[in-house]
This record gives sequence, C-alpha cells and structure tokens, in this order.
Amino acid sequence: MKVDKETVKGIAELANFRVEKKDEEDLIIGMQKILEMASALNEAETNGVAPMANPHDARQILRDDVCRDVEQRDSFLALSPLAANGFFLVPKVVE
Amino acid sequence: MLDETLTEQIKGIRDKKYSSAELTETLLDRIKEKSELNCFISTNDNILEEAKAADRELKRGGNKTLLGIPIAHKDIFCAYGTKTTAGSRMLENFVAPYDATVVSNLKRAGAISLGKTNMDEFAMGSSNETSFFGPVRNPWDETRVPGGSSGGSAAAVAARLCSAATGTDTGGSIRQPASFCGITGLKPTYGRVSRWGMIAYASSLDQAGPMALTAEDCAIMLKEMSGHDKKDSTSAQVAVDDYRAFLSRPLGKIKIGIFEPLMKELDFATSLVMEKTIEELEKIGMTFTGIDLPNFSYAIPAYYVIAPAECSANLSRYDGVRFGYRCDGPSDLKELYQRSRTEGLGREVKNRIMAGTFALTSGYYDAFYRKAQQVRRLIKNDFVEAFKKVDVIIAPATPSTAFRLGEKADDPKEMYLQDVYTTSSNLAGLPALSMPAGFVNNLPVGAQLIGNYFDEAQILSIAHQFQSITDWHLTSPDKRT
Amino acid sequence: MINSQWETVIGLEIHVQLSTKSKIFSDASTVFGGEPNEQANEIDLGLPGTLPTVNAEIFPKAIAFGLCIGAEIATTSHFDRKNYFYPDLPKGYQITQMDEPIVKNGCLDIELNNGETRTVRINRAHLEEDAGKSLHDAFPDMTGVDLNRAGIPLLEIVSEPDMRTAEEAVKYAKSIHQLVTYLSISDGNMAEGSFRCDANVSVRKEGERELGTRTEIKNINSFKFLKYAINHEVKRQISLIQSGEKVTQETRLYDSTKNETRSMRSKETATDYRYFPEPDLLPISLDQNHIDQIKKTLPELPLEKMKRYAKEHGLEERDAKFLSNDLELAKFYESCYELNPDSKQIVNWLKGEMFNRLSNVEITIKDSPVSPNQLCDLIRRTSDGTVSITTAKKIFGKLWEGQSFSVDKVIKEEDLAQLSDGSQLDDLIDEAFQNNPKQIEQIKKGKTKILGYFVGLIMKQTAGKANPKQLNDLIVKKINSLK
Repeated sequence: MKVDKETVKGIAELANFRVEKKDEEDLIIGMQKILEMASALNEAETNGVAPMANPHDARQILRDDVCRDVEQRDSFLALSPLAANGFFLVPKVVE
Repeated sequence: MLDETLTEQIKGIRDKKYSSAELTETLLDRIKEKSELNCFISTNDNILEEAKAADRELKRGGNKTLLGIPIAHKDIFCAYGTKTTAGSRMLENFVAPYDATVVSNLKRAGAISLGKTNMDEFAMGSSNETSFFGPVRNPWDETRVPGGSSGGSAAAVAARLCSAATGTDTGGSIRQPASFCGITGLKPTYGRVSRWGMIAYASSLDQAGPMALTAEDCAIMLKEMSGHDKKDSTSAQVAVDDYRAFLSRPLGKIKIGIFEPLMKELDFATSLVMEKTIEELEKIGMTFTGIDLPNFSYAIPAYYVIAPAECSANLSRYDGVRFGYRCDGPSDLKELYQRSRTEGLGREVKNRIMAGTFALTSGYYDAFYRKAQQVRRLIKNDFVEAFKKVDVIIAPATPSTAFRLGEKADDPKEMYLQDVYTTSSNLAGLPALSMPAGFVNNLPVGAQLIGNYFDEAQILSIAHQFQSITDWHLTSPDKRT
Repeated sequence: MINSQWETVIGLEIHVQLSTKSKIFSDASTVFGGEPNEQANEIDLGLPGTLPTVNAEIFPKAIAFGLCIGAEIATTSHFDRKNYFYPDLPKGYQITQMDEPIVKNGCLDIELNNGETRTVRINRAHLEEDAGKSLHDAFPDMTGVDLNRAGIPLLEIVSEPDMRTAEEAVKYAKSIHQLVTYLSISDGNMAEGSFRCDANVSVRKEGERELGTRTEIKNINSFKFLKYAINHEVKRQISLIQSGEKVTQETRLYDSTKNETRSMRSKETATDYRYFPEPDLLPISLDQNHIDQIKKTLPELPLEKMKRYAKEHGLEERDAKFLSNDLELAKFYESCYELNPDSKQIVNWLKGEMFNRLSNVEITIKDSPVSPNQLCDLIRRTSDGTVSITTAKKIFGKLWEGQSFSVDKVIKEEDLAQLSDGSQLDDLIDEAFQNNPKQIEQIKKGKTKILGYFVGLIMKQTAGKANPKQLNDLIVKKINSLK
C-alpha cells in the first residue's frame, strides 16, 4: 500500500486538513505507517465471517419520548469562538 | 500518608488518623514538588474547600466509600465547570458544561478531584509525548516516558501524587502506562463503565478504568465507576459486583491460559519476570495450560484500522464552530474548517484521522474497515473458545520497559507495537489488568491478566492474591533511587 | 408544454418529520418556533463526550408507514454514520440508516388524470436525524447557524424513478402526505419543514432505455414548487442537450422567487460519505409481535374510508372521496354524522360554505371556528323549516365571525325564524293583492309568472323570514281562487 501525494490531497480534502508543502511528506509517511500496520489484514481468512461492530451481542435499548428543557443555551453559546444573537457564526456560506 | 494505598487512606480518614483536608494539603504540596513530572494539565482550585466539606460530612457520620479521598481524573473526562482538554490545543480552553458519568459516579461516592491529568492528545499515543501540554516524565526515571495515553494518571499514582486516578484504554492506554510506572491498572469489559462525558477516540474500543497501587484499590474504584447508564447506549445492563468483597474469597481451582508465542517474543529479562510471576501464581494454587489464539497476530492490524476509522468520524466535530480552537480570520468556511483543524490538532491525531478516513472511503472500505470488523469477530471467537478451557489468560503487558523520551518519536511503527499485547482485549471487549510483576534494569514491568466478560472480580482477585505474596506494587520510585 | 419526443424520469426522496415530543437521539424538544439554539442540547450540538440515545417513538411510526405501503419491515436494523462537513451538521456526520433501512420494498398506487393507476415503487424508508438551519441573510458577511432542528426525527422515503411528469410527482407526493397525516405519524406541515421533497430529475429521448444524467433538486417545501421546479428543470435539461451540452450530475436548489433552479455551490464537491455502522449505538431489534400489533391498530385509510362513506352513509362516490381525502375533514364530518346522520346535508355544507370560508382565509378545518355541533344545529333548523337556507348561511357567517355561539340564540335574538304562520301570511298576501291591482289583472289574463313578483314582495316585507315554500303555496291557492 503506497500513499502518494494525490491520495493525501484527496483524503485531506475529506478530512478538512490544509496540507502545506512542508507537511506533505510527514503526512504521507504518517498515513503510510498506519496503513502498513493494517495491511497484514489481507492475510486473514475471513470468508463468510460477519463483521463485528461491537463486542457484545446486545441490542439497543430505547428511550421514552420525554423532553428535557435546554437550560444551558447561554453557556453553550459561550463555548463558541464566535456567536451572536443566539446563533453560531461562520463565514458567509453561498448556497 | 503519602505512601499509603487508597484502601489505607480510606481507613486513615475514617479512623481520624488525618483529615481529608490534611491529606489534600499534603498531596497538593507533593504535586508542586513533583511539578517537573508534568502529570497534571490543570488542578482543582477548590479542592481544599471540598476536602473541608467532606470532613464536615464525615463528622456528621457520612459513610460514602470514597468520602474525602482526593483522586485525579484523566483530562479526557468532562467535569462540570473545569477545563477538559483531552491533551489537545483544540480543547485548550474548553470548559465542560457537564460531568462525565465516571466523574459524577466518583463524586457521588464522596471522592474529590485534585485535577486533570496529562495524556496523549485525544488518547492517541503510547508515550504521552503527543500531548499539547508537553510530555509526562516517568517517576522511575525522568528521562523516560510514563507510557500512554493515560501517562499522567499512571505517573501521578506512581509518584504518590494521589492514590488512585481514572484512565481510559482504547488499545492499551491504561495497562501499558500502568506497566511502565509500576502500578495496577484495569481496563474493564467494554460497556462496564459509561462512556458519557468521556471524550471519544474510538467508540467501540474506548473503556474507562481505575489506576491505583493495588488490585484492591482498583476494585474499590471500579465498583463506584461502573454501572449501566441510560446516557450511554453501549453501557451494559449487567449488575455490578462488589469487587472488593470478592477479593478475600477463596479462589478455588483457577486455570490460567498461556498463549506460548507471546512469551517467546519477550527479551530474556522480561521473560524471567513472566516466569517468576507464573511461579508465584502456582504457589497460590493456580494451574497453567496452553491455549491457542490463532488470530492474535491480526489484533494490531485490525486495531489500526478500526481505531483510526472511528476517530476520523469522532473528531469531525472539532471544526471551530461551536466550541474549541478556531483559526484567526478565516476568509471562508473552508478555510475556517481546514485551518482550525490543521492548527488545532497535532500530528499523530492528524495521521490517524487521515488513515481512518482513507480506510472508510468507498474504494477501500471492504479491504480495510470491513475486513478489520471480520477479523475482530475471529479474535473474539478465539477468546470465547479459550475461555471454555481456562478461567483467565496471562500475557505480558508491554514488549519492553519504559523507553526514553524521544526514543521512538520518529518511529511510529515501533510505537504502535507497544500495544501488541493489549489491543486484542479491546477488540474482543474483554476485561484485562496490568499488575506490577518485577523490575528490569530498575524499571517496572507489568504482567497482564485477561478475564472473561464481566468477570473483573476474578482477575482482580487473582491480582490481589498475587499482591498478598509480592511487594512489587508497593515499591515506590523514591525508595529505589 | 414539453416537447413530446422527450420523456422525463422523476424519483422523489421525501423527508417526513415524525411527530415526537423529543428528538431522535436526544431528549431536547422538537416544538417548532423556538429562539435560535434554544432547543439544541449538548447532544444536538455534538459537544465532546456526548452520546446519542434512541427515541422509542420513531419505530411504531416508521412501521405503520411501512405496513401501509406493503413493505418489508426489518426486524433487525442499525444506524450508520454519514460523514461530511457542513455548519448545520454539528458532529460532522449524520446518523442515518444506510444498508439496513427499517422499511424496504414497498409501493404506492397513484391515480393518473386519465383514470389509470400507476404504481410507484418505494425502494426504502429509513430513519435519520435532521440537520440544523443556516441563516444566510441575518448577518453581514456571516452565516448564522441555528441547531434547533438538528436531531429532529425524519423518515426519508425514497421512491424508484417511476414518475414521468411533474403532475405525477405531485400526485405521488400528495399521496404520501395524505398517508403520513392519516397515520398521524407526521403533522405534514410543509411551511414548518415537516414535509420536504428532493426531486431526482432526468430526461431521455422517448423510447430510450438508458436513464439520462440526473440532477437532484433539494428541499422543496410545497407541492406547487415541486411542480414548478421539476418543469423548470426538465426544460433546462432539454435545452442543454439540444444545444449540444451535457447535463452535469449535481445538487440544485429551487428558487421560488425567480422560478428557476441553480447549482448549489456549497455542496459542489463530489463527496465520499464514508458510511460505517454508528459505534455509539447498538443494533435495533424489533419484535414481530410488536409489528403485528401495530398492524392490527392501523387506522382506516382513505380508500377504505371512501368506500365506507359511500356504502354505509349513502354518499355519492365523489362526495365520499371529497371527505376521505383529508383526515381532518373526515374527522369533522364524522363528528357531525354522529350528531345528525343527514350525510347529504353535512357534505353540502362542508363542500359549500365551509370550504369557501376555509380557503378564503387559508386555514384547515381543524381550526374552523364553526364546530360540528353548531353545524348540526344549523342543519337541524333548516330541515325543520325554522330558517331558510339563505338565512342559515347568514347564521353560519355569524358563527364563523364569533358573533354568537348558539344557532338557536342567533335565531331568537335576531328574530330570524321563518314566518310559517298561515293566517299572518294570508293577511300579507291579501294586502299585497289589494295594493297591486294591475298585477292581479295580468294574472287573471293568465300571466302566472307574475306570481314571483308577489313572493319577492312579501319576502321583502318579512325580511326574508317567510317560509318560501309555504308562501308559494298560499299565493298559488289565492290566485286560483281569483279565477
């Protein structure tokens, strides 16, 4: 599994990272090392094995449809680097 | 009181040998004295008030298990009104507006918090060197790492800055630092302890657990930390044992499984420690037998797909919009996202997000993510088979003793292999602990006990019996140097 | 309007908000119209360490829908994460169902204008969380993000591309709307975003088998706009192809003020959503007994209701359909019917006076100021001859305006009861005959049509209160006696 510049660019786009020229090589190596660790998976014999997403065979428990008031709006908004009039703000998005 | 275990401190306060306030002040002095270890990211300014309140409650006859006991929390647990950073610049100024269930459970048991311990950024690392707040130093040798990611908690307990701390373990993050620092650390069964309020790394692997000097201390902590939590859908609806009460019960005939290939990989000194441990356990009536874990070698590859994949999604919320780091003056949305994330997250975290993102893309999902999930089932099945033959499995905790700061920083693969003995129990969801088992070149070495599902009581009991005939766990770095 | 050599292919994705009190994965309120971010709790905001839980109420609702479209209900399903960045998507992923939707392979019949039936296949319906709302105009240079809607439970209903005209698409959407409101699984309120359509539109030459490149028009929130948006998009695609260009697969937005669709720049980059099973939630198991139980308690659907009204209430099919089309109207009708089984009269009132007034002020029958009780009283007073239809309509108006609440009280207070006292009418007729000798002469000459003149005259004198039929009879009798 070889990671190239194009792959890093595409993946960084999905993950929303900015790749400066100087960091490109580091990212390639970083990704490469992890994927090399992972590549040994190829050798595992997994025909007909159901994927396992969670260690237990438990089932989801369901919550009753009851509301709890949000009493912390102001403290939540205060966590935001930029908020005004009750809104979180981001640079103007053109739809 | 500094050298006392959690169990002894509980008794010390109960018996009025000293007050919670006195204990707290002693510990605060000790933390200051040992500040070069860099165990804490933040300390609790109100703790003396809380200690005094606990003393008043004690006077009124309060009998909560941990009443007035100062403990420390890994900085991955949200605690209301306190900074919770996960070791990241991204959350440098994040003040949590709620308590993690682990935090509230321990509070409910009367514990007070000294502060938040240092950790690898978002729990991604095995040396504590990826922390935005600088590395933690190993109290046994300050040129060495304490292990990670719960390195701050491990070093704090080892250096006697507190008698118990919380940690989290995704691939070995409690057991490896416990081994490196010569303390006892338990990763419970997946779902035993609620993950609510615990900042996620890899949701299906993350599990919180206690780190303390002794198995008995861990038993006390675990009971208070555990239990079903409606807020965490993956927390188990299984009754919590009185782990401490189990400790003194006769164990009966315990059969311990050994997976030979693991022992053969060890260097000579470490394998001697393991042999010695097995001998000690035989002395207290355990028998040993070989087991087969045919897919064990796939644990690391599977782990390095599943953990990065889950983290790639779990860390998407760090976008500079609602909380956390936001870059200066972004000109558009894309720049806001990209720069906030690139500047706010460290290198190792970015590497894992990148690899995980890749493993989930449509062209590679089957070969990586799906395959890893299949392997995960095979690994679990191997353990299920093994536990038909044996009660507990013994394994090394780490492939080496604590290495030097910077030693493996440029060799991520070596770093990743730190988890070689630990990740399989995360993948299978099994409980496992690391207990001090000896020293190699004056550095502690841990042995690992892996238990069956929800059978923390058993591995804690065995560790407790082991600790009743050994004193590795009571050796303090101060006394040896 | 559309060149006949082209065929349009339309598939719809309809997002239906399930009526629950709390959100799908958190216990924040779903009530519409809160202050920005007032209904977004730590889970909806995706704060670190928070985890989702699953609202039990979404399952019976999704199951009821699935059963009504003859679909398979998955007894095991799970949630997945769909990964992408957008300011209104707090976690950076949406929790949805990818490869195990709760509802699979159903269909819905719609009636075409030519009377034929078309079966629209419904490939799947899955449960997911809604995103928040971005406000682009509230701040200069900034977009405001309100996450009150983040986590609102949605059932996304995905059709196969089985529709061929905008009208069919609208028919299908209306049928789904009718179904979900009938089942009371959604309030279907389009203005509040409880029912939104995404239309996948492509065109191809008549007879071609390959589908053309499709575009997806997002977030259409009225049936009218659905029709406009599709028709506009079809024209755009045809003219593109005719001028030798290609249709690009993309997401477009319908601008109702300009009546055009335009490319959504913000979602331009083709994204890999990297779906994978949501590790914070466990697989969902549904008990077959539970599903059977829901099946037993399904409400009567429009078609069954229509047939029952026709058969048991003796209504014409047209009227029965009018009533059963709208659940609220049907409910109103049935309340009336219980009080007074004069189905014909009730339906006439509902079709006439009620319908006109409702459409004038654009409210639904649920909010009608006139209650079934009042309407039945009114019907009773027309059938027993107390008031004429004309007067009854006046009274209806007073009830509507809230000037009075009791039919009988209005009649009494405003002295609206008809004059049915024969002797009093006799006197009035005699008086009228005396005062109009010319007209009497004409009658005698055989011009009986002049009769109406006297009816009008006396109606005027009595301010419309004379019982018209009785008056008519009396005048005829008197005229006959003159001869």
